[in-house]
Amino acid sequence: MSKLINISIDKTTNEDLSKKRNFQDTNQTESNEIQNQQKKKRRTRSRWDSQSKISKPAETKIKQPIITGRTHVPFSQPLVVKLPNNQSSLLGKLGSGGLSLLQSNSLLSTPLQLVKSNSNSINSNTGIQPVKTSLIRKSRWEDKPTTKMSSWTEKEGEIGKAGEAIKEPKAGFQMNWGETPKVLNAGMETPLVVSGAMTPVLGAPSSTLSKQIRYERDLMIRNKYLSDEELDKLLPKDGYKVLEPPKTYVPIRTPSRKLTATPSPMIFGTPLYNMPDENSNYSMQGGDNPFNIPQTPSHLPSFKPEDIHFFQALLEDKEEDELDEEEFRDRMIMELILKVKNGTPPIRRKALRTLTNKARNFGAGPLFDLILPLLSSPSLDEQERHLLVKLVDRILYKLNDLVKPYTKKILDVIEPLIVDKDYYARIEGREILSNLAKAVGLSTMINSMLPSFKDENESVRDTTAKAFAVIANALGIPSLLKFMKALSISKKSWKMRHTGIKIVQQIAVLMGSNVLPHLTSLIEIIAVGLNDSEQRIKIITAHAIASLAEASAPYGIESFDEVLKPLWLGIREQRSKGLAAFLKAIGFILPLMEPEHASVYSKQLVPILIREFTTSDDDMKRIVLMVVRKCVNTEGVDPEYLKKELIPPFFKNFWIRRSAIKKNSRHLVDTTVELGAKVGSSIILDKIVVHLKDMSEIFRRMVMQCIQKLLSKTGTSEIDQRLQELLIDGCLVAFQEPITDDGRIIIGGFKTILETLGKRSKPYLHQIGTIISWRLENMVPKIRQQAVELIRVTAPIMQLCEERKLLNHFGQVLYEFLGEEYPEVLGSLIGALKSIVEAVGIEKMNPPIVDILTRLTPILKNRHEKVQQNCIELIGLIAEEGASHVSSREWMRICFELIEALKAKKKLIRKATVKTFGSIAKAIGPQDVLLALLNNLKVQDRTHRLFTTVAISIISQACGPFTTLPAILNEFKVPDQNVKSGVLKSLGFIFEYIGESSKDYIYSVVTLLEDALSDHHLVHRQLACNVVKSLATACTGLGCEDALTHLFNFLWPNVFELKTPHLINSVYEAIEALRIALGPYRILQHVLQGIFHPARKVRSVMWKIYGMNYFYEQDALIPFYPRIDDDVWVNGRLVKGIESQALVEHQKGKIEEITENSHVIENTYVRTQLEYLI
Amino acid sequence: MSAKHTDDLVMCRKITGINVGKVCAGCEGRCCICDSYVRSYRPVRICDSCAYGTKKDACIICGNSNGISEAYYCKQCVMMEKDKDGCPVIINLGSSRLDKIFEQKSSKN
Repeated sequence: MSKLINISIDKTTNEDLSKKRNFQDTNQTESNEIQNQQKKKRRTRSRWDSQSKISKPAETKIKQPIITGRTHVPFSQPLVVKLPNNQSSLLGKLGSGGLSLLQSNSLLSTPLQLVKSNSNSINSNTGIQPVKTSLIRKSRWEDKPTTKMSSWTEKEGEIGKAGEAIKEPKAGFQMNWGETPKVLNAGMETPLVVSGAMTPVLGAPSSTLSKQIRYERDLMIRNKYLSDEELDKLLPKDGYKVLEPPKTYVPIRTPSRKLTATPSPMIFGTPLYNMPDENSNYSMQGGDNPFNIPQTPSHLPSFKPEDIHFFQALLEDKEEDELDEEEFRDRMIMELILKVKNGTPPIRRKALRTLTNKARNFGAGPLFDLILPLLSSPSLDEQERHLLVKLVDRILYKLNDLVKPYTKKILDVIEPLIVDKDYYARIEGREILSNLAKAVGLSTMINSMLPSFKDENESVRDTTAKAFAVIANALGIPSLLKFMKALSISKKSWKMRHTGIKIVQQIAVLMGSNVLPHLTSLIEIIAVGLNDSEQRIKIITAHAIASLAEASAPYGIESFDEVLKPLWLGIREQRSKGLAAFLKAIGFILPLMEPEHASVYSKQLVPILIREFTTSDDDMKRIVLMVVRKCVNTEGVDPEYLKKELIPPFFKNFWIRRSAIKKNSRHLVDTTVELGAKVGSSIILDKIVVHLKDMSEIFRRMVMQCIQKLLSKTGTSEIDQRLQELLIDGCLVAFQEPITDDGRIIIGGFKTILETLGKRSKPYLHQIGTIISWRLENMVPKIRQQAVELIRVTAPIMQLCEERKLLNHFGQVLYEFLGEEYPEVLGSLIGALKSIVEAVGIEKMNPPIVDILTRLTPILKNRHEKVQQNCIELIGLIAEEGASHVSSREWMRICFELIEALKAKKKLIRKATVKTFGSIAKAIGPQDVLLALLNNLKVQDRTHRLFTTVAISIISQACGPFTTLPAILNEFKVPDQNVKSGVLKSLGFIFEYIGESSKDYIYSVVTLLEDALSDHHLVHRQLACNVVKSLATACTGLGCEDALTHLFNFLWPNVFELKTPHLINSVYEAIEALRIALGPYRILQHVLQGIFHPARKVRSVMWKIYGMNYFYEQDALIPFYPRIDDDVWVNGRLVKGIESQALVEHQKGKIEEITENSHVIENTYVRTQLEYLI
Repeated sequence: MSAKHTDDLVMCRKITGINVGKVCAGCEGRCCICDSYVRSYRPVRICDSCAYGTKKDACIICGNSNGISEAYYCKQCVMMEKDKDGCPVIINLGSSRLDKIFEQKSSKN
């Protein structure tokens, strides 16, 4: 074997490097080791000959090439060994770490097939042809190619162009929509579509994939081989020697094993590979920024390397003066979008607000040209997409009809959201789509969507139908009826009709019972589809009818009259998918029918259903199960017939182990429960109880679920002794078999069985107890937890069966086990103990409750949520029912521990804590507890303070406010904002809790509220308003009007505090409450002072309050409207109201003379001026 | 979160029918208008479109599909006639909740 020859790529010139990059880039194969091998073979040979000066053949050490490209994969430049017979081949790399990485890394195992197919077409001149990907449809890209396909043979000038393309991504944004999308990723051969295409380009990485790529890339950079230079930096030059590889060293040469490796996700070349730019500041050369994070200016958040195309402009260091107006605007929008997308929440919020407020100034064009391409970027993760969608929504709202020209573009990026797998994304998509529809109107929407109605691709049509259903929901069905009618009878293509009917189906799914008013028209529209020549139309029509029937149940049978006959006939004619659809339609219409009709149909349906039990099609099985459920539910079906004909094949075909792993299991359980309710539970139980001992855990779980549902529906009155024993036996087996989930289903099912058996379960309790005791000792924590959970659910039943001894035994055992170290088990254990305490009662508890509480106090320090919650609940129970058993000193100790629990993240824990505080305070008196809590008002954490105030209020309620109010009022003196607001908040809660008793305390808090309502701090005023509100509603009609009027006078000036919405809302609420307490008249009096004020700010507030008053107290206001004094003296007589109006008109010549009839209405409540204004 | 604390939540506000709304275990005892846990006073009547279909057992406050007990207005809200303003079912998710959901998702990933 000849010596290993080093291909010292790190020593090559820059020119070489750039050529090489271009080469690799255009071939998209730099991550493919095998392909590189082929390239290298050709390249190294030719280049070595011409540029032998740069190679060092004499050097015998093995070096790793330095990596300069951004996404460069170190393995892509493998060592080449020159063999004696002049054959160079890939040997792999030195080092077991690298080799193992090679083997394990999916990146490197890009399928060989692709490479092979390419290698077949190797151009004889150039050696290698650019890889063509067959995944992009030819026609689309050949129409108007915007990026020239570069090959590695092209001159270096081309590289410059590609580099420019990276620098100027704007070209990609400013394209017209109709154009073939331009390539943004200039380094790629296969262009990534920016937007405009319905579906993202195949092979473009999704956000998860891009994350994976980034992760792998990072890993490679971290694990790359060190170059000589780097080694020189790390190790001193002297004293080290480069060793020759041992003669016996034979690298692994089995490329064939890579054939069997899992294909890399990056099968389609190297997406997101960019031309490494020597001068750019995001190049990773030099090691300053090895992970490619672009260095954004300091005031902007950083972004992912994949987004460089969108935000490239921000990386250019340009002054404001250098930019023209448009550039400046675009840059500003770009900055704001980046802040929304990647900023911290406060930055994001601010940027979102700025973009929304300035949306009209920026204009729809520049905004959407930047946002929409970003939205269709495949590297976007869910949160970023959500933020951008939210931004589009806000902008939509502001721009309103200005978005019309962009409807199609927006639809293209929003429609995929509607069919997203994530529920929340779908909700968001729907919301934004309906806003869009409301903004641009129906005709624009239809025009934009029209081409998709007859699209070749079924998924596109499906999405369009769903989108259109959302629009129908937003704009109302009647406005769309004609269009849908036209679609469903379209003669142009069956696809049109298919989409039209699918829209109706989706409307039914989306709107539910809201379709009822339009049911007849909708069915008229789709009825023609049942007689269509195209089978697919028939199927979708049947599905649409089923959805409409499901949505409108139990009403609207008359609307289905015209489709019943064709459906019924269809059942006899159709097979497989068609039959399934027709069965479903009939099955869903059944519940709408009159009982006698339904029974006729059911009887005829059942044989067909039984025939289809044997089907292997999952969809058919699901539909059969659904229809069986509907048939069984109808009144006329005879249970005996079901028992005889339906049940045997039903259990034979459906209750098999395989059913449990299918999605249909839920339907199977529901149908079986319905069947059990019809024919009697014992028959069903008899059939399935044996499966509780089945070897498959999922199947056991399904059986238990079914038994649980069935028994809670039908009870156990039908169950005989034998079945009881079988049930309990099955349950015990299922309980003792390994349970991989949390055991909720098995234990819950066990509980239901015991509960429904009631006292009849007494004989089995000892056996259950023995098993529990045995399992409590188990080493596996999960088994102990399950045993404890079973104690928790069976304790009430043991009490019911008067198994006091067993309960006491378990009480003692659990008490001894309180030292459990696994928090999950400990939590359940305390829960079980609580259940026993509840069952036995505090007094009769063994061990004594004091002992238990003493053991619980240290456990309170445990911060595990489950432990904390159960512990606090048990302490609360003891405090409530048996506080006298424990010394007050012990309770105070617990109180101090409980204050810490007020910080808990889980609301349930905080709620349990404040309740416990109340119980303890009731037991030992409020003083000490209150003092501790009032001191706690100083803490910084808002939630902690809030729950402290709640605890103070609960204590006040429990012990009576007269015991706590003096201390609370005294605390208001503390010159600390947090304490003051805490006091006000507590007062608000106290008066809310104690209700009518507030009248005894209102006078004592008036001065405090005076102070707070005129405080400098807005928060104090806001909280004081809440107190006033609680007081006013509580004291209505109890003779405290004087105090309330006094408070109202202090409250009123706050109506002009428009700075914070929280305050203004509180003020309005307080005014509303005072309206109840003082009557609308008092409010009106205040309002009238400013209702015609010259200043708009004053007027608008007054009118708002007037409106609130009028809205709720319209009738009560009538006596209080002011008399408008426009009376005049005419001929020595006072002429009033309308009469004077008549006089004025007489003077103008409109009325000839004033008679008695000129003013028929006695003008008592004249409000001409008010009415005019209203 | 209730409508009181999240201003972008939208209530249905159609004319109420005879059906009583449900609340989930987490929202049990809360007034659907003001979030108060005390003095529940009058059952919440909701409109027919909210009372039927897939959402019929959903919690009227948080949208949880597992509504278990009846929803109530508190005494204060009844006094201020907030129970006569129409169906109080929340029909959207609200941006703060969506933000939270997506943030949790991204941090999980």
